[in-house]
Amino acid sequence: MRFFFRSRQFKVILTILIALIAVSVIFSVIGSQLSPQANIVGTITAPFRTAATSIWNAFEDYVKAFNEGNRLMTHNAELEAEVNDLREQLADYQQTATENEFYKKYLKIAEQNPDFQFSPATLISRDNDDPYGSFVINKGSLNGIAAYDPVITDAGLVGYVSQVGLTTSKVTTVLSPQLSLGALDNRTNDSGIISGDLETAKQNKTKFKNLARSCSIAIGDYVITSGEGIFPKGLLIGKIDSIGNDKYNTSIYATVTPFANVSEIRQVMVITDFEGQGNMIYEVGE
Amino acid sequence: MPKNLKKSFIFIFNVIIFFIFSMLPHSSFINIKLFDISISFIIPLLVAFALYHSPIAAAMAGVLSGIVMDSTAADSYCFNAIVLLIIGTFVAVSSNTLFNKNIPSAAVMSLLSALFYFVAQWIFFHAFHDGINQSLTFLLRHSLPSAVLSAVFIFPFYFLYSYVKKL
Repeated sequence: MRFFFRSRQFKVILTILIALIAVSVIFSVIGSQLSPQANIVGTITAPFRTAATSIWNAFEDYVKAFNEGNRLMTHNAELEAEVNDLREQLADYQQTATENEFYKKYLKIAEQNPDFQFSPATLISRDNDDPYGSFVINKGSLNGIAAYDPVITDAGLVGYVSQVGLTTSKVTTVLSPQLSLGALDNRTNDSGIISGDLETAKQNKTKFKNLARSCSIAIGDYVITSGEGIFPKGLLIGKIDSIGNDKYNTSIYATVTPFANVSEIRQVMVITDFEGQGNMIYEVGE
Repeated sequence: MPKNLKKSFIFIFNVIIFFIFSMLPHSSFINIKLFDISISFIIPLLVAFALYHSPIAAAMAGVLSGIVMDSTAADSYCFNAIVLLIIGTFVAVSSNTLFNKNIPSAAVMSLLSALFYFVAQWIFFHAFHDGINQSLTFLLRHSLPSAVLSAVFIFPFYFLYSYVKKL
């Protein structure tokens, strides 16, 4: 063991370790950028991950299509070749229809908010060890994505872009305690802060905190973004499930089920620009 | 098989196996979990690799697979690279000094390495973040069982690498 600590190998390993710790400290302070080595490797491996995800999706689609067509195939064995051909066409059609449906849903949001600039993105990997459901999308700074861009689905707010690489970005979800966003009860206009914790994240829920004891929120109320911070005003977040008293102060909190089901998301829209976005990020930076 | 060809074959085999197992836990839909306990294949794989390689080779294997994991993991700037470097070096050095290269030693080192990885992960990403009281349940119900379950997978990797060594 003593010989190892005096060896050249140990010095090389120690140098690498120190370099990694330095990079880790620097980039955790910067916060919104992938570390350079992860960025390079992420860019190189992104096509492999995209391919793996596509194969898996195609496999799932094929299994679904097969189950639906099984009865017909049994009764029409002589038409097997034709059925296969039709199935392929059906898969193409379903994909096109799904894409159309996807864009149509966002059209309504775009019409209501003409200042929004969207960039569609596909989820390419998910960190299964993260209880808050963070994931990686296939768009990065080369596609105009920037740190703190809001991420939505047609159902509502998903989270924000926390780290940006060249061709991929990491998204922190509304379930995470790292996210702290101003929110309003859509019915009563009572304001508070949306921020998750471990307990609520396990149930795919988040918390609406710092509500005044005198507020009149109720179970079933919708919660929307207040427009303070990095998110534009009026994005749907979720529905109030339960209301409780905060253990540590006189305020109350509500448990909110996000409209966007974080664990089942495959495609998202990144809002790359909206009115006042720059100012808001500046305020957060300050 | 000529010696150079054999070396190239083993090198490519190692690159592919490490690439697959470092990508697997972060692939979007292949979610390997048992009762909410996640399994890390990369730790027993690295332990088995380090048993039969030099500390520098084990450290490099740990760093590179850690970087692949860091590129998709949530908020881990260099966490996986650093921890896997330490694990690779520790196992390679201690397999020549403190332990042997037999199955019991491999099992013990795999368990120690997995415990180190999951406890470090809990400390940095949960205890510092949510506080010890709030995240203690996560340690007991997720991190420790994950470490034990991951360590079990040393056996197939141990036999795989002992076979590769004999080639």
